[in-house]
Formats: sequence, structure tokens, C-alpha cells
Amino acid sequence: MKKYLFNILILVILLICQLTIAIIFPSLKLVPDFILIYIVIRAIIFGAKDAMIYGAIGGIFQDVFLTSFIGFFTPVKTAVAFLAALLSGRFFPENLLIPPLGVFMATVVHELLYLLLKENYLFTANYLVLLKEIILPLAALNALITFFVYLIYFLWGRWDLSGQA
Amino acid sequence: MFNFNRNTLIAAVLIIILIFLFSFLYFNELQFSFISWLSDIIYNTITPILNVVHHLVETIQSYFTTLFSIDEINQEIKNLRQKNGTLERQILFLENINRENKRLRELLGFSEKVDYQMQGAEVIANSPSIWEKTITINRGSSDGLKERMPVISYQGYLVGRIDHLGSHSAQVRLITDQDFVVGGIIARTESREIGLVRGSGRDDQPNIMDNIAWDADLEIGDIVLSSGLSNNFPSGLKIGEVIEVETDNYGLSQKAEINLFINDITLEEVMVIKNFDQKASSEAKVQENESIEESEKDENITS
Repeated sequence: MKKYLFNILILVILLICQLTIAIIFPSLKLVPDFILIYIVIRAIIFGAKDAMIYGAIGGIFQDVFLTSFIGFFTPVKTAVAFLAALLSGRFFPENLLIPPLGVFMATVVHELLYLLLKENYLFTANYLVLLKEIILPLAALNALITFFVYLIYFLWGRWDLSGQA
Repeated sequence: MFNFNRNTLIAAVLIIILIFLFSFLYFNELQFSFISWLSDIIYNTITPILNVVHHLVETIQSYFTTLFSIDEINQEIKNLRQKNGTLERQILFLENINRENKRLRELLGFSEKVDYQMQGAEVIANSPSIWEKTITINRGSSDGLKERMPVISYQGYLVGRIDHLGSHSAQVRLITDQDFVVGGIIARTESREIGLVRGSGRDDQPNIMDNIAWDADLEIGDIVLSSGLSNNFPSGLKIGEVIEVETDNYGLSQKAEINLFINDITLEEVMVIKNFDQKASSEAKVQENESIEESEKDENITS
């Protein structure tokens, strides 16, 4: 129970960061999806079950700030968490490039799934332009953040194992 | 190829069923009091934290701004004092014009234009998605706000409308959102063309004003105001400026690209129009139009 509450608290903090970052930096064109990054990293490290639960919770939190409870983010984030979990246990933790790559792919899938569910974007959007101007830069930004987050997580794990904690 | 254990797969299936169930409820717009209650709890729990974070960030920002630009602030105070003097003189002048305007309105039988009752609010959060253009403000139902109330900037530019309400906060759907449509009118003496201004869904792209008559008189640089025909927004709110005009629907209509005024400002504080009475506004407009028509008829008869 404590573990769940702790992770939900982290999701709330990440949501607050996501909501306020554009207020602090108004000239920011792209806002990183911190919740997605957290879910994908959890999916890669801990597997599908864990990630899907937090994917659904993170999705609900985002939906509450857009619609009235469950909207598009809840199913999309859960699906992306499941897909990201396919990478779980299939690479060495020393390979620092796999998590950013996973987040990059997850962001592309996440945004495309979201657009496909949105009625007003589905038939009118120019997907190539959106992919080039929004989705790929956002995926690159998310991947860059993931690289540093995973590096810190990896080094912290090493430091912990070496008995210096 | 991929090894999931039995428990994981059962959990995955259960979560997917639950999600589909909730999605079904969402798409069919079925409202359950428990779900609304849970949603309100989450929303009303997080928004006060957002408010605190916003104030904290603002305090830190203003501290450093003051620290590093003390000379500029002193100069600005001096300039503002001078400007204040000029504005006070202008107020006196405008008061005279206002009195004259009132007297002429009485003479012509025009109804009195009521000032809007405004509620100032601070922007405390942005949208959690790049596809949805919304902001969260720190005023809610406890401050007398209601859904669909128009929101404007301090400069009088149309910002959006209230979409969802919490007790101490509200979500505002911005004019740039893809779901946003407002009736627009060209503000030029020779041209009063109307059309629909639609959000582009992008901050870096202009909005589109379409459904404009094929022979409409539109020029680059024309100012677009809210028409007030939809009854959702009062007339005369500044929306943007026409930057390009092109034919639409194979020449059957025209469309224009509108550069929004709110793109040129940083949305930190907004105002909600609380007492916009649709009926009273439209009645007043009809009455005004009738009076104009009557006076025009009188003029024609005398000439």
C-alpha cells in the first residue's frame, strides 16, 4: 500500500511539473510528458502489470485536467505502458540507450493513438506535418530527459550496490 | 517471444476491460455521480497545490527580477507616474464625452449599455497535453463562475470560455483550441462581414475565419471582433487581425487567416465576464438596430 501511495505521489508531482512548466517558461513550445517518461521507465524496469496500473492512474490525472474523469489519456497511457513492457528484461541495465529509445517510440505511439481517438483531428489533421513539427521533436525531448533520468537511476543503483549508501 | 507470467496477463486483461468500460461511459456521455465526485475530488485536491506552487514560483521570480533590474524598475516608476498624470487628464475628458453619450442615447431612445461584471483570475496551470489548448485559473464556482462564461485578457482580447469548473479553480478552453468556434465580424466602417473563427490547435499557427460570403469585402489588416450572434459571447471583443484572405469551397466562399491578439501577450492574468446576459444583450441589439433603421427611414423621407 505504501509503495502505491508513494508512486501516486510521484505521479501527482510529475503532473504538477507538467502543468506549471509552461507557466514558468512561457516561450516553451513543447512540454515534455513527464508522466509518460515515468511510466515507460517503470514498464521497462518492473514489467507490464506495474506500469499499466500507474499508466491508468497517470492517464486519469491528466484527463481530470482536460475532461471530467476518464478521457483519452487513460486508455492510451495504459496501452503504451503495456507495449513498453515488451522491452522489460530484454536488455542489460548498462545499455543506457534502450530506455530513451523506448520512450522515443512510446511518445510517437502515444501521440498518434491520441490523435486517432480525437474526432476533430482524426480526419482533418495533416499527420506528416504534425509528425515532423510536433511529435518527433517532442519524442526527442522526452528521450533526452529519459537518458539523464535513467543515467541517474543507473548510477544510483551502482552506488547503492557498492555499499556506500 | 515475450514472456508474461499468468498474473500479469490477468491484471492486463482486467485493466483493459476496466478502461474500455470507462471509455464506453465517456464516449456515450453517461454521467455517474460517483465518477463525477471522484473526478471533483482529484481536481479540487490538486488545484490548491498548483496554486501554492504558482505563488511560490511567482515570489521567487519577482524577487530575482527586482534584484537584477532595480534601475529599470525605478525608471519605469518614473514613466508610469508621468503616464498616470496624462491618463487622469484623459479620464476627465472622457467623463465629459460619457455624459454627452448618455444624453444622446436618451434622445435617440437607445438602451443603456451595461458594463460587464468582471472577475479577475490568475493563470495557475497550462494544458497537460500539446493537443488541447486549455489553461487553469484560480477562480471557481465559489467565486460565482459558471460554465461557458467568456474569458478575456486585461487588454480586452478574447481568450476563451470556461469549460470545466472546480470549487476554487476552472479550466478555460482557449480560442486556439481545435474545438473552439466563435462568430467573428470585421470591424471596418465600410465592411461588417461575418464568419466563423476556428481554433487551429497550434500556438504558432493563425486561426481560420471561414464561412465568409464569396463577395465579402475583406482586406489584410482588418480587425476581427466577436459578432455576438452566437449568444455565447458578447459582441465587440477583440479577436485578431486578418493576415491572409483566400477563396474557399471552390470559390463559393472565402476564408481568412487570423493572427490572434492573445498570441502577442503572455497569459498570466485574465478576466471572466460574469454578468453577460445573452437575452438582454440580443434584445438591446435588436432595439438598437430598429432605432437605426427608423432613423435611416426618417432621413430618407426628409431627403
